[in-house]
Amino acid sequence: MFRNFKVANFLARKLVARSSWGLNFMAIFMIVIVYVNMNFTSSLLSGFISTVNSKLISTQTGNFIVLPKNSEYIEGSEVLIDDIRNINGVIGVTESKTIPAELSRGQEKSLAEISAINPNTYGDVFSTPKNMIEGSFLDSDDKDMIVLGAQIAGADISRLELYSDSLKNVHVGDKITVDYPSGIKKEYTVKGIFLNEFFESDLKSFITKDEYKNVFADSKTESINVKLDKDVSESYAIDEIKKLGNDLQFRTWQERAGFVRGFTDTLKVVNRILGFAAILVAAVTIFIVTYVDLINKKRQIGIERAIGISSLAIILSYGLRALFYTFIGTAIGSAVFMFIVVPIERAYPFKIPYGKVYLQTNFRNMLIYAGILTLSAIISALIPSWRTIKISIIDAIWGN
Amino acid sequence: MLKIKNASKIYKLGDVEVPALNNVSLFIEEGEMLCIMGRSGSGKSTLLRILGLIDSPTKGKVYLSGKDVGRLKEKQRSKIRLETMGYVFQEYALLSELTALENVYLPAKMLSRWPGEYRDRAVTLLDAVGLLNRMKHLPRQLSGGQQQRVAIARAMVNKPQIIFADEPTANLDSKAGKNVMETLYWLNKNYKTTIVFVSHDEADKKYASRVIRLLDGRIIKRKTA
Repeated sequence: MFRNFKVANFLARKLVARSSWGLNFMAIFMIVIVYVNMNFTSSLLSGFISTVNSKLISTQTGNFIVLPKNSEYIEGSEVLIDDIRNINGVIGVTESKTIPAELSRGQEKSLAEISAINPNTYGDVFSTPKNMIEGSFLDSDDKDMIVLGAQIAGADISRLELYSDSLKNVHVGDKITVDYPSGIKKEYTVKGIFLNEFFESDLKSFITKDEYKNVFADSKTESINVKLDKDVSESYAIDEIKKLGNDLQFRTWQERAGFVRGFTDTLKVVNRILGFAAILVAAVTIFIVTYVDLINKKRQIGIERAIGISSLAIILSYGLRALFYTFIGTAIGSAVFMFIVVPIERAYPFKIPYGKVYLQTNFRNMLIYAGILTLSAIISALIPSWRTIKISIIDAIWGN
Repeated sequence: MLKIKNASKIYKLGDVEVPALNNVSLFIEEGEMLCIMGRSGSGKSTLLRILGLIDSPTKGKVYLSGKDVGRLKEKQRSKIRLETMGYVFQEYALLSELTALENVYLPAKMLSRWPGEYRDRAVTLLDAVGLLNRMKHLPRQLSGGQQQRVAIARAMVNKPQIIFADEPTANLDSKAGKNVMETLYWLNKNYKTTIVFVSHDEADKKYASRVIRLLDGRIIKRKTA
């Protein structure tokens, strides 16, 4: 076996070094293209998923939501919030209560959820206060004030996905009427309009929890949103909260992903299909390169066999050549991707309705792709060489 | 040392059967230089390929040192070719990506463990065939005669018991052909290597210790020099 490998290695080196440079270039170039394409598609989809997920976390859910288990409200929420805040790795905690309502201004009406929030802590968990396009976010002492999502206010931004269902031209300082399901009707002044570029959260409206208390004489907390430090896992923080002993249940951001999860799952499937197609292209390319080369070398292989070179050594030599092509191809492909494609994309990121998408490189994936590509290239080289070896020596040397 | 007994070879061209060799028996002695002569299509190359274990007879047996080797699997035949036989083809048959030196030591690389061992032997053989100054040249940089001498050196590199040469001078001019035949003759005399060669050139008879003639796949004449 060692001698077979030694001879195969020798033949492979000579095959590469002394055969047509055009052939070598074409094979390596195809590997580079396929490898860059595989990484680009995968990183783009990962970046897209990451953008959507981070929007979801930063504007909708936080890392997880604490909910009451057997009642409508969380009992002793103020103490619980303080306790959660003291858990290692927790960087933000805020409470809220949401009620559906009908918002109207003149003839325009829009259904929306109004969240009663604590303006002092809301920004610790969510980025919404930083995404104001008009006016400012709520302060804890605001009375009769409301902050609207752009998809509700409309704000004369006709490009919004749900503009036709919005109040269309509401701006800061305008007065809107809110009809609560209990029959209470109240007029609010619009303090600010935000645009998170995530339409689920841009459908929200906010009032302060004191405002809610004034209207409904109720200050109970319905849910608590928690934000964690980057390297802290949700399961760890949830276990810590469970130790506090309250009757609670938890929903992580993944569980609340809803349509986003379906969307990202679809993208992952698309990613796998595109990856498979790319590998197929590379495998077929190597197959063709080897096959065409072998057609021209059929006689030469016959001679090698006639002088006693083992079939295994000959087949291995083509496998090793494919290994060389993929090694060089993936090395160049990695350099092109990391030092050219990624920096260019970072400078000019793709823009989607959820914000900017940056390529998300994953070295583990890059290695896996290189491995899969190498394996498929080697198999693609071995198949035609194995078939050529099956031809009799007589036919190989003296046949047509 | 090498014997074929009642060997026949029939090639199939579609539905048509073409007999190439018809009930041939032949014994090759160690150290002899046997010339197989005959017209084109007489079966001489087929006989050489069967003797050289490149082809199998349709009927009959092939013995090497008393062992039946005619029906061995390709892997075992390849091993025998590598260890005990050398082959010189009519059309030079060097590997185009290898230099003269690499072409010579390639079969030895399959057998030897240490690079120095086969490299030195290849250099010695190239020197012996007068091509020491051409050892780093690729086949396309060598003349036909030079390529054939490289092929002879390659055939010798594993110190084979027997060398088969299939019309080694057919594609060469008379001077280069003479040079090649003298090289084979010199190997036979100095290394006692058994040599079986096919030729249609009557002038080559003088190098042989024995001549056989084939016609329509049968041996029609045996003559010892």
